[in-house]
Amino acid sequence: MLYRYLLTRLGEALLSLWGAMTIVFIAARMLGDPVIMMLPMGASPADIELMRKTLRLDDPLIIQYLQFMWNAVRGDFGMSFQFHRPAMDLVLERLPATILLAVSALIIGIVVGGFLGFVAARWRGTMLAPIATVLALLGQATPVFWLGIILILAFSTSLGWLPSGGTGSLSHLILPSITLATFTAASVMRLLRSSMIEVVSEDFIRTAWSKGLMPRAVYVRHVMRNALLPVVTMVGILAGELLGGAVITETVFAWPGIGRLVMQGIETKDFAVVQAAAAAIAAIYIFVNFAVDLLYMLIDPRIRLSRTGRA
Amino acid sequence: MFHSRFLKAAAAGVAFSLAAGAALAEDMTFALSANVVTLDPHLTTTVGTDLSVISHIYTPLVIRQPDMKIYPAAAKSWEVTDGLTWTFHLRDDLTFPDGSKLDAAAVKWNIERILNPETKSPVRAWLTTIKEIKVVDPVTVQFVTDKPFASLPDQMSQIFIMSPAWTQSHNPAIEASGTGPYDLVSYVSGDSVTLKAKAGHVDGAPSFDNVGFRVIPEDSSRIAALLAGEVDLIAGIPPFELERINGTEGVSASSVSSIRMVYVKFNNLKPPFAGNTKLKLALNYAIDKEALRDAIWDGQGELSRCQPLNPAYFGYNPDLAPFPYDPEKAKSLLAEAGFAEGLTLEFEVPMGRYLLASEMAQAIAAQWAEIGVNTNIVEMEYGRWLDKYQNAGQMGDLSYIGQSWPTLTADGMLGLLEPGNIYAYYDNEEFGNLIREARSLTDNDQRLALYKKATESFCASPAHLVLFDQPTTYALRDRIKWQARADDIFRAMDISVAK
Repeated sequence: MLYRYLLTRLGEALLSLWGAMTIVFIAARMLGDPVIMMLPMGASPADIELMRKTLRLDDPLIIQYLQFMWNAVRGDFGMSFQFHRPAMDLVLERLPATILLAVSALIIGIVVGGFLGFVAARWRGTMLAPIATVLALLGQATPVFWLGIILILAFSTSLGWLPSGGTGSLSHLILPSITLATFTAASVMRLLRSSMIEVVSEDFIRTAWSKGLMPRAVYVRHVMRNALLPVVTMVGILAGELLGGAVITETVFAWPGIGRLVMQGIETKDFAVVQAAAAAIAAIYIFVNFAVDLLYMLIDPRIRLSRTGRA
Repeated sequence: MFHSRFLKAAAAGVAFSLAAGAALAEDMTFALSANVVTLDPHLTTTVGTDLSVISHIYTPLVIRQPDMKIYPAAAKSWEVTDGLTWTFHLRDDLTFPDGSKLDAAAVKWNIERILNPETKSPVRAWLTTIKEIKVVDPVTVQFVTDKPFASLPDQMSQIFIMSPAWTQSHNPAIEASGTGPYDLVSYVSGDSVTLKAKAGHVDGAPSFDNVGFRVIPEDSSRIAALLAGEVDLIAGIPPFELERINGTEGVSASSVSSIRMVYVKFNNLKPPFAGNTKLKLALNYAIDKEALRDAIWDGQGELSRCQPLNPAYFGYNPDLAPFPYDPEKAKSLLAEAGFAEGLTLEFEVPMGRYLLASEMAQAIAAQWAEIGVNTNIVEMEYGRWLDKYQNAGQMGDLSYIGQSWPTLTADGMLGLLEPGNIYAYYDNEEFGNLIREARSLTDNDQRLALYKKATESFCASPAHLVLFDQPTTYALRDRIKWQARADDIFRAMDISVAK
């Protein structure tokens, strides 16, 4: 039954989330000692001990874990050591910026990658196909760091058309999303192209040709709709990755997103921030994949029928 | 007829004065290389970002100006009696935006907030010698310490005063309201801070009406923003970029020796360094510091003169000179030290913290190899390196480090090498006795004489490979002039519009 399927998936999602949070809790504590990062150089061992006691970092690990979990289910992820504010507040503050960047990059990536992939498959054998493929290869091979700086030098410093970084307006979004979208577009292009080529050789496509359908009808109505299935899965994975925070793009463009927050948290051993961000990112990832699964059910009748157990 | 001419003249007069007023309102924007983490002056020690912004909004008792000397700020004057009691006489004309006065009671509240362990203030460690705070009258506050604390005024230059009433009802981490020349307009964590000049401040209008701080962590992006005209002043750029920036229209770049000194610590508590002065000297003579500085830092930064102090510090000894580069002498000293056939040492280098540390360490290792001292360079993440060095007392044989003491006193800086501290790794008892004696006195001339002897003792048996001051590299647009500071503080009050 559909109902039972959804419930099972929800249970799995919560289990994954708990597992991710536990792993991050342990990993964060293996990072090192946050107290010596906080205090100025030359602080006495007595000062260090006092700070450690005040922050309850000298409690046994299992007590700290249980305290963390007990608070986390009620939304309290603790206070950040460096910002002295609730860690989840910080994460939620930065999340919109990351979501905006991720969604923009995803849209650009899907549109450009989809277009190039379609062209490469549809006009396979002509000049267009290798051009599209080379473009995709370039996109996948170009280091994000280098591309970002080149774009800044060209469009900000030399031409002055776009701002070099930060947020505030639509023009601030253009360069970072293009930079981030190159890899997305390349992945989508290559997958769509190979998926389409595979579908084109299927029996039902030959049936469509023999029915006398125009090429457009064949390619768009029949080939694309079937070829899109693996691409949808990949987009789900890409969305999760992008939402997890593209640290390099955020650093190069001074974009105030989650990626940089987590990096800073790791450098300063700010356990609360690392844990809160990991929980948020894991939750988003799980949710996006869940949504992709549902989408799959919608667009592919075979899956809907098999999952819900109806003939 | 006359009416309309008069009106026109009046209108022209108003328009002219409005235009003149508008022309005087200048803006400026800093680019910071790291995030402004908090606006609460008691919860941060980061000078280049948090405290720089905070110094525009709040006032300390005393202030350090670009010449690195202490001047009055909220306090007009101060003196010490019987070595343990410091009396500060406050101005009576500083008022917070909420109407309360910056008086002795407010000062007492602020210091007590820092000393309260529940506040979790990292600054607390600097003020633990204060045992009692007395409010003598609204403009006189006294600090009683349990040991002589000659650098208390220097320490107070980094303690900013908040309004007790305001702090109870607001979140000082993200809001700010102080007696300084600027008000906070907006604080977007991770992105920017915007300030606006207070109207009618007691000390007059500052040079800039609007001051912005933008967070741009990546060096190349920061330089690009400067060249594109989006920001006016940047710092912390690699030395090899200075030439390119100087060759560009409208901007210039330079550097100033900072208060941070860079050296390679020896672990003097273990073999082979323990008790082996000749080995320590040999390693110092073996390095061509000028060549290193010119090659890796493009000639920026001053050589340290046989002591872990530079001219900005009280207690600096100008009569000492850097170790000359003398590989022959180094080899013979090495032989006298008992290592004629060479030796191998572990060399720990923290990543991402000090300017071009990795490159510098490799060059030093290569020069030492020429006299037969081989090193295994171990680069490690900064937190882990710091833990090993300061927390666990497990520093390796050699460790690359840059240190400074924010109050610019020999007591603090030399205290980092005081035998007995777990992070000193130094075995020079004579040195330790001299600085302890200096710490117990308050007469500056006597203290200077003792520090002279202490630095000479250091030079005779150095605790580390003496290298150089780390340069603070900066670049700015030609429309502004900056009195460059050695202590990493960036204030619009030190900047003026270039004529």
